[in-house]
Amino acid sequence: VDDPRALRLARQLEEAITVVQREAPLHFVVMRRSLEGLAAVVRVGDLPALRLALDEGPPWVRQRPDGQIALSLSEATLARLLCGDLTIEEGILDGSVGARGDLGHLLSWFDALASWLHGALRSPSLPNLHARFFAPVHTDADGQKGSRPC
Amino acid sequence: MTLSQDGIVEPSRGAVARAIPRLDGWRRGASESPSPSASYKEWMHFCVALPGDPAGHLLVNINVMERLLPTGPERRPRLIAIGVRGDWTGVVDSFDADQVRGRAGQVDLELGPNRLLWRNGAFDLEVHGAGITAKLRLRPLALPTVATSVSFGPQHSIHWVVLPRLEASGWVDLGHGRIALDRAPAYHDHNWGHFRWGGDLAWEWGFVNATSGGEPWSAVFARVSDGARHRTLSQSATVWRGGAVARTFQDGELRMTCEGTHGGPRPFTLPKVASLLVPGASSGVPARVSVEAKGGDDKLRIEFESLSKARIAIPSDVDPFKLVLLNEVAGRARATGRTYAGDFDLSGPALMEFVRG
Repeated sequence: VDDPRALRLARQLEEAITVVQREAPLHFVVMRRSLEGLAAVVRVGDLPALRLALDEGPPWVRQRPDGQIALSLSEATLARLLCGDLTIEEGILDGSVGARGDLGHLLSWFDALASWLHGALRSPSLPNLHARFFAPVHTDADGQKGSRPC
Repeated sequence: MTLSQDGIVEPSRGAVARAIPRLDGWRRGASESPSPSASYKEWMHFCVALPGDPAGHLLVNINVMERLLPTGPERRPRLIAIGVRGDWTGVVDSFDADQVRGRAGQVDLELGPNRLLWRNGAFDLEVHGAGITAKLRLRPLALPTVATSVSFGPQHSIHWVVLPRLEASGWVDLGHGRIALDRAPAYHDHNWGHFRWGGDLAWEWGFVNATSGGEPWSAVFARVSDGARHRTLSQSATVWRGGAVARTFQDGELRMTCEGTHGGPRPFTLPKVASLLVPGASSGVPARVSVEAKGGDDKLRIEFESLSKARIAIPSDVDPFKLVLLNEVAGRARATGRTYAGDFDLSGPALMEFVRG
């Protein structure tokens, strides 16, 4: 991953999966089984596409645009999801979350996401993960970047 | 102790101040090793009425929860602070062992910058959460109940101590500026015991706060049932006048009825990301609850109306893919009835908790 913002997001996604693998291994196994043979391509704002697949890895997150499931959302929408201000269902209905792919694949993705969430909520490191996601980022060109913590 | 003209025992300030540290200290130290079964839970709950119409509320829950993780038993202190004054807000924070100061037998507990201290006949409570802060002095106006056991089904029970009347002075900030409080009505309880979240268990619990310090009556009620709420395991309602219990109604003496469904948008949820797992607005919270109790010449009727709610999602200890939802419901209530201490007709802000999962 060469774009620094995409690199940061890729590392956060990788860490989010690693935390569940380490601290809630049952949930990781179920999540991996749900996504077996599938790759999800996540586009956040104008960042390069990140491909998430659990069959091989780590790393599970790479900068690649190919996959059976395509998810798109803005950085602000991602923050709203993590802050509990928006649900996936609400995001799809109001168009702020895009989810494209075969229906069966999409359902597998949502099952995997639910398993990750159950694992994350049981992981002692979740608060640290959350705090790091919302920590401000400094860039030379634009000053402070990052989402407002919720 | 003093005996009033109508025969009510009023505990002196000195008696209250002496009783609290003896009855209300933490049963186990927050930094102790987890129990072998990793099922011990202990929490202190404080509720403070905030000005407004409808009344606002601050709820602070300082707890130590054990659970069995893949890495072994975990014992972790947490602070949950939620408040409502129009909209709900709140935070849940957990603390590593090096951030915790306190020991068994004492009320005092420090979790990072948050503090609960017992000093000079009152609780000093400081909360420093993201978006919710408070500095309060809570002075008990009643004796705590002696520790009583509540059945949580086979092999499980918890114990609780209740302090229905305190006056809270200081300030609360729910993110929109400080709200000054001067002897605002407050409530406190302390619970401890072994059980597992997500077991065959549900409960409803609530209290009616006096609107003003001049109102001598207060009431607390609770029902514990199986998870499907088909079978009641235990239930009680206690009425205080002033600082002393006027009557406790138990089990067969009372009947609690839930009616309707409290609607509204998806409730504020903690931890916030848990909303993704419980995206609907449905919560199992009724629109109204009534409690009717009768025993001898004594009677009690409580009518509670739900106004708004928030929920706290707790991972089930039993099912790795379920959450238990603690629905905290702000409402208003009226309690009427008769005890040996007199007739009463109490209306005021009320809180109920509905545990579903």
